[in-house]
Amino acid sequence: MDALKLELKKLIIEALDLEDTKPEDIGDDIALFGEDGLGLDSIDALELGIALRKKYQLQLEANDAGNREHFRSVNALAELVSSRA
Amino acid sequence: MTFRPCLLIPIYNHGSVIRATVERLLVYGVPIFVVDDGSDEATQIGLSSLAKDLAQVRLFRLPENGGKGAAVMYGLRIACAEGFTHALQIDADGQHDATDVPRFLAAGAAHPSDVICGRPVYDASIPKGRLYGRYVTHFWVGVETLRLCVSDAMCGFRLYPLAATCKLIDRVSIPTRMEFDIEILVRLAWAGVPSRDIPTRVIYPPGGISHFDMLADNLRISWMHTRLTLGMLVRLPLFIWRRVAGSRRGGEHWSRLSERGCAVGLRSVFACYRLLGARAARCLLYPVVAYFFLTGTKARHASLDYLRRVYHRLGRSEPTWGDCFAHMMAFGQSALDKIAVWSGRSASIPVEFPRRAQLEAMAAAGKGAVLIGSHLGNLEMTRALAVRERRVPVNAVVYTHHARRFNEVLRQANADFSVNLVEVADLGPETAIMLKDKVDRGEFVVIVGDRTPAAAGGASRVAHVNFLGETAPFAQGPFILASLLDCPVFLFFCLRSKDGFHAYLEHFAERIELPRAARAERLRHYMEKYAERLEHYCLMAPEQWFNFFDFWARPDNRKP
Repeated sequence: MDALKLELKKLIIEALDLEDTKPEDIGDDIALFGEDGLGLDSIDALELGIALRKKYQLQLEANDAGNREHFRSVNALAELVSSRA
Repeated sequence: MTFRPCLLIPIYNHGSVIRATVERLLVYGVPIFVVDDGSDEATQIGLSSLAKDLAQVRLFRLPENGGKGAAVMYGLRIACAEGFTHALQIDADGQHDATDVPRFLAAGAAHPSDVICGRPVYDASIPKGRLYGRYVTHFWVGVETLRLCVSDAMCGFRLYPLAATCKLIDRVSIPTRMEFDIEILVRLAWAGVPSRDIPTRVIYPPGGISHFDMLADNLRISWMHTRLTLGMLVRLPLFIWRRVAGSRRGGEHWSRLSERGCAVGLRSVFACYRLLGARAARCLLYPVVAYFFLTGTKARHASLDYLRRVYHRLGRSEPTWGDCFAHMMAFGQSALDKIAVWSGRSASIPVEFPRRAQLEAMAAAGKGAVLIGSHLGNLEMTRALAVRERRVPVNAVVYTHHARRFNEVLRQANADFSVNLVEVADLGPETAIMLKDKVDRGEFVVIVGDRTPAAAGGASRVAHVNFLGETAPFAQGPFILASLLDCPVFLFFCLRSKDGFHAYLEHFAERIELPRAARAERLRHYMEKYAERLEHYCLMAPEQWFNFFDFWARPDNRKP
């Protein structure tokens, strides 16, 4: 699981071109989007979504209100990726 | 202010049921005023014994039958004179649910300056004719009060704030027959008394006596609506001033007001459209648009600013307020067109689409694409056709937060409205995943390229590109999304002509490629190209660009 989380952090940094950020700067439970936390915006969100889909062939049930939750933090993402693998 | 309520029951010849009605109300320990509106002898005797048996009941008698309103107003004046602050009017015949009394009183105590209205929830016992009549009344009251009053004006179960109400009935004469319940509520709304709703169960008891005279009372009510509508028009400047003053006082934000007002205004227009057809609805559009023209200062100035730029490019003279009004009317018309197409009347509005075959061929070959549209014209026309014919799988990405109520109206008009509509409050990773799936399946994704930057990722995510003679901040989001979806990109516009629509499809890019090294520069290139094409089409149909805010404002000067 920890390996997956590290992989995800690297993917976030790579996909969003966060040059000054290192994987250890991203806490497992820190909020990725919004004011507090990593502070990614909606365009980052799009890019991250595409990158995740490409790497893990992620599929989502359309229009599920809970979908957003899967992208809340690295922990949530790791859960999603491992459950769909 | 201390809250001192009483109950008020007007009665006319309901001899047998009044005792049961009153007995159900005793438990609340509030004085009960019964006003006998010149009833027959049998009822008089019953009432006298009732008042003798129950100390809580006060009986008043009018020598002649003057109508329900006469009895209610008599009771209101007496209650006010005796120092009560509120009176809860209840019908004598037991059709109002006595167990709701505490809820009315609690609402009145919490909002002492409001009139608290019962909003009837009927059981199956209501005659259908009554229900239809109520619908029509509801519509008219909406028109007469410009939606200041949204309550059910026909339900006689309501709590009046006595000071304001007595002031009103001393000043104006209100008809005392069946029109009373409606007219007093409309007049209170005009006087600036807010109304508040409480849902309440209404029963039509078997064997109940109704004093509703089908012909005479319907004529009275029709005449009343005519009078009140004229009264509304006379008072229009006052209402507008009140709204403007209210928003200046920092009440509700204008844009929220306008969305709310617009949608309910449109709902009235929609009701009119269904009942009377397109031409009548268009007539009703004039006062609705006039209202927003007069109250929407920001929108009006934004419209004029935009028109000035377009006219300048076209070599025309300065736009006038008349042009600005025409611009807003075109917006109203586009809303009507949306209603028309979703309520299935689009056969009367032809859409010409020369390159339709190209789109259908791509769909047949399973090649997905992004279509970038705009606020110019009416994309909904083509989306409705696509959904109906199901030959081209089109997904429209829409931002719901500023048009939620209007979309609700369209959804009610046609259940298909939601088909392939991707409604997003804001974009998230899941949106991208879902849209990419769709494109890979060979579907089309429609997004608009001229959205407000504030709603599209904030001020940092804009590029200032030339549009109609000056740089304006365009949101990068749509173009980045198109790039991420990694498929052919087209521009798509659907403009209204005199008798129908014309749809234009243009190839924009085989792929929007944004290599990291030259990302900002490439992005700007695409956005400039888009703005240039948008400008081209704006010049073709100047009054059809429906972005009523200061599009050229520097985002850093704007409050988020």
